[in-house]
Amino acid sequence: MEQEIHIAGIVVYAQAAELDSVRSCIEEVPGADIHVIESGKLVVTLETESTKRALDIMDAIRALPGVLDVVLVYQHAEPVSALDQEVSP
Amino acid sequence: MKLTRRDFIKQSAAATAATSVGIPIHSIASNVVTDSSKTQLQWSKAPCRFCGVGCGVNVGVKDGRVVATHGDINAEVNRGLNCVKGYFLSKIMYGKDRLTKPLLRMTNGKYDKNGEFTPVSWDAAFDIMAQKFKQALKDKGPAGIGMFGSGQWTIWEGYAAAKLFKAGFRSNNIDPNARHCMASAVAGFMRTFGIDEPMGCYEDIEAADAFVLWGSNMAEMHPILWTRITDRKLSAPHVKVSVLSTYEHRSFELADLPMIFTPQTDLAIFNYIAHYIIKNNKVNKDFVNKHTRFVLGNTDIGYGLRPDHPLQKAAKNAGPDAGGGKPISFEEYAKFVSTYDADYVSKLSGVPKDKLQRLAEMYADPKIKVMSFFTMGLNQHTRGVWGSNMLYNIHLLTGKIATPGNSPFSLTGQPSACGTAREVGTFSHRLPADMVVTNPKHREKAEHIWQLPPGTIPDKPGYHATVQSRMLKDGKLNAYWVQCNNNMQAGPNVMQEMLPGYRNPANFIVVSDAYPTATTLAADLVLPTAMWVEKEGAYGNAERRTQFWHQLVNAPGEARSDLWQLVEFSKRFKMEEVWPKELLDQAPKWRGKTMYDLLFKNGAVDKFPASQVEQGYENHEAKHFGFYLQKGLFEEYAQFGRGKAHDLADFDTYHKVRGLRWPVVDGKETQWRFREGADPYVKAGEGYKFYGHPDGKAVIYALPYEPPPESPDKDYPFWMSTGRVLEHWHTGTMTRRVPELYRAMPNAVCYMHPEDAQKLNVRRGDMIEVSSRRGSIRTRVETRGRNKPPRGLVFIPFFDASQLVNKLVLDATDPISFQTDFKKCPVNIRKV
Repeated sequence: MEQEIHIAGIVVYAQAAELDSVRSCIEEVPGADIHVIESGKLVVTLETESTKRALDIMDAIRALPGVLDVVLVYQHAEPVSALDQEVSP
Repeated sequence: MKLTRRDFIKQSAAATAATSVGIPIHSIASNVVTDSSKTQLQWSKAPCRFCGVGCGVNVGVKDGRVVATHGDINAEVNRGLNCVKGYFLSKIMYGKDRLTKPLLRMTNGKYDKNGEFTPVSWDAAFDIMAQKFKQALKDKGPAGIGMFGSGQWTIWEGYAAAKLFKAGFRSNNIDPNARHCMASAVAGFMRTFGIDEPMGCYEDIEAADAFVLWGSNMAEMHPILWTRITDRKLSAPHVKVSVLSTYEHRSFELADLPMIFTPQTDLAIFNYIAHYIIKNNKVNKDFVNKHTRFVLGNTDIGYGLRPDHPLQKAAKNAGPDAGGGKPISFEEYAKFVSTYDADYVSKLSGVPKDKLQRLAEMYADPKIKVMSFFTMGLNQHTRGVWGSNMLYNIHLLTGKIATPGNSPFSLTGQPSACGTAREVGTFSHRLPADMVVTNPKHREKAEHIWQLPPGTIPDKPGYHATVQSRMLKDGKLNAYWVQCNNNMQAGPNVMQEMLPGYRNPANFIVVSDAYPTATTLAADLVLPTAMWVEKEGAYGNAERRTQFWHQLVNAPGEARSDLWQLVEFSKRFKMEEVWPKELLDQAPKWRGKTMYDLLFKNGAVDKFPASQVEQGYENHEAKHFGFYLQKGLFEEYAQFGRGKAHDLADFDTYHKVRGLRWPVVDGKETQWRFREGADPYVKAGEGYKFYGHPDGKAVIYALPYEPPPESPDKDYPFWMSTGRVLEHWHTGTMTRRVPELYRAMPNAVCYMHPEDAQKLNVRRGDMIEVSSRRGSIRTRVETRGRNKPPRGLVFIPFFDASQLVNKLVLDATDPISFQTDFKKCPVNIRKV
């Protein structure tokens, strides 16, 4: 079966004092992008090759000092070829 | 700059996540979110498939396949968030071993109970099935056939099944798997309030000052509600959380007041709290005088075992009087609970006195608004009905009920345990809208709506779940249909009371499912089933919210919805084959007709044309039968509850809104029942009215602590408890479809205290044999992890088909609700 790409949109709740360290930790994770940070919440997308990888990353973020909660909002999985189709901007 | 769909979808994912927590989209600089030409996705709403919380999700379809889901920002339940289970929603339909053709056990081209599963056509499947059902009807009458359904049925599936059996076949032998999970909660509501389901709603969470969990692991089982509780606690530091359980689980992480108690002693703790409230003059006298009355419940009621079991014979009120009682005064009640003092209850339960007192004070203090949650820990209990009665006692004595934040709240495990099993009444004793088959007026109403001659519906309850298994084994129930559940794995005492019945040569067993399971393996005929958004559906969640969805994709191969199967099967029976001549004489218009004509092509169910299906959505059933089957069934069903405090809105409304909580009167839903101003059924000046009972009063039951049927002894020194873990929701039938997840936790393990492990001379990962009086299983020791039992108790999850832990469990039930107790059974453990 063709390789799938998994895209997840998650929200990380962090304590204000730890926000910077949480941010730099998440920035280290391959495939993780921080899109916006506002009032203790980080909006993050994960791009992974499997469900397990995405869940492992979510678990790892949840275990970071200063992280209060990690919630899933959006999940998407499609074959690479379908996601690599170009679209006009 | 070149852009791919991946880029757009990532932007969408970020924007959706931001919106769900109130961050404006423009901060992400995205203007493509809703541009479906870029993402090529068609989005539609649906409730989540997995649990009773009833989160709203948006489902993204591309080229006829679900590829994405996200929390629905417009859904009041989850406000855009999703739990981990949501991650699997788009995957559950696409497992490699999906069933796509009917399979019949055959040898040399003929049905053979001992043959191999062989693909057959639907026609051939229904031929043999009809033949076997007709034979059973001929030999044993309506008692010879039965059905076991589900709290995962859609509302119209449950309704069609109940109608097929109770009106068509004239058999009350239909019961849902909700019997194993919700029956005690139902009976508890009916006894105390005379009407089923919680009076409050999820908005209670944001108003409460204290939360108490009685046998509920919400952190893992109901994560979205847990997130709401966490939010409440973080935003209001005075909020306290108390968690009571027989072992430590993840919900304890948030607990200010954690308590581990000895199994069964929750009953004594309830009475201790009631006693504390009375002794400290914290009774809300005005409320109690106006809105409650007291009853002394019958005691020594047995354990719902076979009548020849010694424990049943020894019990004084094991029969139909188990639920009885007699009126008493407040003073008599006060005296009754006065023996449950701190010394006695602390010794019995193992909970320190200071903790008991702090818990009691939460309930007693009139300034603290308390929300109590309960799930399987209290329901799967040989005194589960008593337990919920005793919890209501506490809320009623203090008047902490039906106002925002004051809320005893029964959580459900299945997505439509409330909407289908309970409200439709797919139990062996029930009819829609809380009516029962034993009440002549209720039967009359049902017969009127269903256009049946008087006397059609049998007046005695049919076989409930556990008795169905016993009757199959005893050869008295010969044609049996299981839909939408994995009973062979989830049911009790599998090897002695269940499997023998399925494999009894006198019986023909049909199992409808989307995937192979322990139950399909035990069947004679397997029917492939459409699931979730492969059909148009409706669920009812734990806060009385009815939610609809459209069919969004087609089912694979020849898989068909449970609804299609039920309705199509009804065509196979002429009325003369199911009704006696005397009944047909009263209703000659059904002569020569089929059950399909009687039940579905009856002028009511077929009233709405297929053209009314919303444009842009498929509806396989409407296309096949030629009318809008779901709408017709729903509107016929809604007649039962309108004007009876179970009012549902009209069909079309539900496709537009994110669910509504019944009663829906004049287009308005009801958040809190029984309170003036909030509930349209309470008149001005009444304040509160518990209108489920004719006198408008709720009942406070005096009930004692009684011991469980079996307790640990010399031969079986450990308590064993079973339950779920998050990753394997239900019996694993769905979540185990996801290979990544299966690898993450391939087999169930036995959680135990490190000191017990040391004493048994076993280490983490060692193979052990766990045995009870009924059998044994092999599993591995786990001394770490999120479930931490106290010494003397072990916990084994029940999802693993290779370790049928339920074969260890005694098929003891609550004698009032007949719900099985899966939570405590004495076992022995030895190293292998």
